Amino acid sequence: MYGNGYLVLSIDDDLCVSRVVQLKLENAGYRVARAVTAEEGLAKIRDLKPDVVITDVKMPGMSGIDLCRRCEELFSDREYLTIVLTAQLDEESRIWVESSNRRRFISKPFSPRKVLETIESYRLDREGAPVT
Amino acid sequence: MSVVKGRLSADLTAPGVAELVRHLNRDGALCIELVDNDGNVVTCAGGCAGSCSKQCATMRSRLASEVLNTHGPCCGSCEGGGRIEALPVMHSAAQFGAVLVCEVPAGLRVPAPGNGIQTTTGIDPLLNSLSLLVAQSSFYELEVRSLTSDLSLRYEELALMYEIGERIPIRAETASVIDYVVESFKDLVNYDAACWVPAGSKEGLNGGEGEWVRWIDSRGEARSLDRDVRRVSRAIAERVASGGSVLTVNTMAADADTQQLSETFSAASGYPVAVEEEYYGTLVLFKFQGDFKSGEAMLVSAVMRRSGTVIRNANLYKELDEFFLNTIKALVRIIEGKDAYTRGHSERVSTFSMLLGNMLNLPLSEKEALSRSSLLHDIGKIKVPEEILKKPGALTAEEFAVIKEHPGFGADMLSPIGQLSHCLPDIRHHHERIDGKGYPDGLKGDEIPQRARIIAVADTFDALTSDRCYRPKFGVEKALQIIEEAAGTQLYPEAAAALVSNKDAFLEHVEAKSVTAEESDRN
Repeated sequence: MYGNGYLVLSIDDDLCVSRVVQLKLENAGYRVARAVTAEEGLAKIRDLKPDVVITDVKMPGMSGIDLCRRCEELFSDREYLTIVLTAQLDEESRIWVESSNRRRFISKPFSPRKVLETIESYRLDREGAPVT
Repeated sequence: MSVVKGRLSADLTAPGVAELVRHLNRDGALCIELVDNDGNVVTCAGGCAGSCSKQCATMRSRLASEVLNTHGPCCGSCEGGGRIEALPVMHSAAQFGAVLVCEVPAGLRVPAPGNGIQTTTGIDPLLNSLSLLVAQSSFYELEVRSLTSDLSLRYEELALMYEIGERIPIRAETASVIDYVVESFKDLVNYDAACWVPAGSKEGLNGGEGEWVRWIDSRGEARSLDRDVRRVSRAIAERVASGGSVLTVNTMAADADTQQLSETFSAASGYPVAVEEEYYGTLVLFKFQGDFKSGEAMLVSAVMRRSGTVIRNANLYKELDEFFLNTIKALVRIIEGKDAYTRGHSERVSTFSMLLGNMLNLPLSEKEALSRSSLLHDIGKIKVPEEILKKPGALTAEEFAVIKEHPGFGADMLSPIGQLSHCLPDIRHHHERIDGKGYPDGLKGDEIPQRARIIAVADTFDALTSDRCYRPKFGVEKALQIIEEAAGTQLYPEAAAALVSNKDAFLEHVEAKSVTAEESDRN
């Protein structure tokens, strides 16, 4: 195991977005896996057990929000951070996302640095280290 | 030849290599190994199924090292006599690793299952194709990483531009807008010091209010250079403003304006902040080391142009607010102008009302409304004939009836002005009484809007402490006593209590001199 041992899964049908996220996080010592649909994402969450899931909302097939809800039902014993990364989110979904501190919402266009900071902060919190 | 080391794309190549081997190596005669730039085996496939001797492994390792260091082919053999050929995996001066092919000694061959082509061709063409395959995919991976890195920067810039538009408070002062913006892009643009040179009014392109210098890290030594930085920045600002475009000085020693700081900094650049005809100021950035590249300059320039728009909006809002307030004050002066006794009354009632608003902890939006309502509360008196307003004796019932119309008339008069709609009830009801015996509607207690109840207390206090045409003013103590006695019946008890307990704050503003009869006649 190299880096800080965390696995991040990036789910987005836009490959540019997941590639940018992957590069930013790998350079900071994270391992990154990618998925192109929510269905593929679901399978990878089940099999790879990521520590962080970053997902888009509007994708062909299942939406990112439905994916989140489904995963929380299926993997309720696991602890992981979910980041919803999207241009628009309806009011109801936004409220739902922000009702838990294991879920965050970052709007697009997004700053890759902000995604990294969000994950670093979550990781350092979990490890009990002071956040720099 | 200078060779760049790239990452071997194992994910992409390992399956490809395994496939190739499977098809070409059915009789188990070849073993193919792929290593990365550090000599680690990425994948191994083929005939000996990894059961080769230690000597072979050592030989292979030595050959791999040589290839990786010399960037050229080499060969050797294993103890069983089998040849080992090694080639670097390269594409366009980028080396990703090395590929080795071993001829497996007859006794150790493990034929692959299933049908396949026998190895009849020599090792060399195979080696070359393999090397090319691996190199190309690794090369494209390298290119993709480079493009992705660029894309990541563009994403940051885009996110910053969006944020600048959304986050800046609409009514902020220009200097603090620029400060916020400069703070926002400090991670994207490399600079060590920044100076904001605001445009002066009319004459100067410098000298406006709010000039500041900020340092990225506050080294003590850096601080003492503030004055010099300002001076140099102003010189640069002049040139930027007259040229109308970004100015970059990457050789500060050679430029007369920047020379004095060339020991400290290596480069400076100036960015105009302007919208059409209006010039707001110049932002000047300095670096300790390195040049200002065109990419950075473009980003800052775009961000400053955006900021210019934001500043213009903020200024327009401010002007609108001031215009509105001044119009109200002009209206008020009209009604009070005629009567020396009431001159200044509305402004004092407004001051007293705001003091009460603070003491009663009114929220900000309420206080803003209260400020306007209290200033305008007597606007309806414009309809009341002067003779009645200035009558020195007691009023007849008819005359009093006319006076009692002024709150209603004031509210009606202002009703077409949408922006004042929240003031209308306050104006209409400022003469209501808590006990319901007021006018025009006889509202009781909480039915009366709170701001109107506050204005009533302020209005009464000012009336009691000023001379009027029909009686001189009361002494302060007497006035406070009357207020206290009226609490609960005429006046709003909480406001009355606040007034009495904090009388010193109010006394400051009570009308100082008395108006004499002669003065009154003259006006």
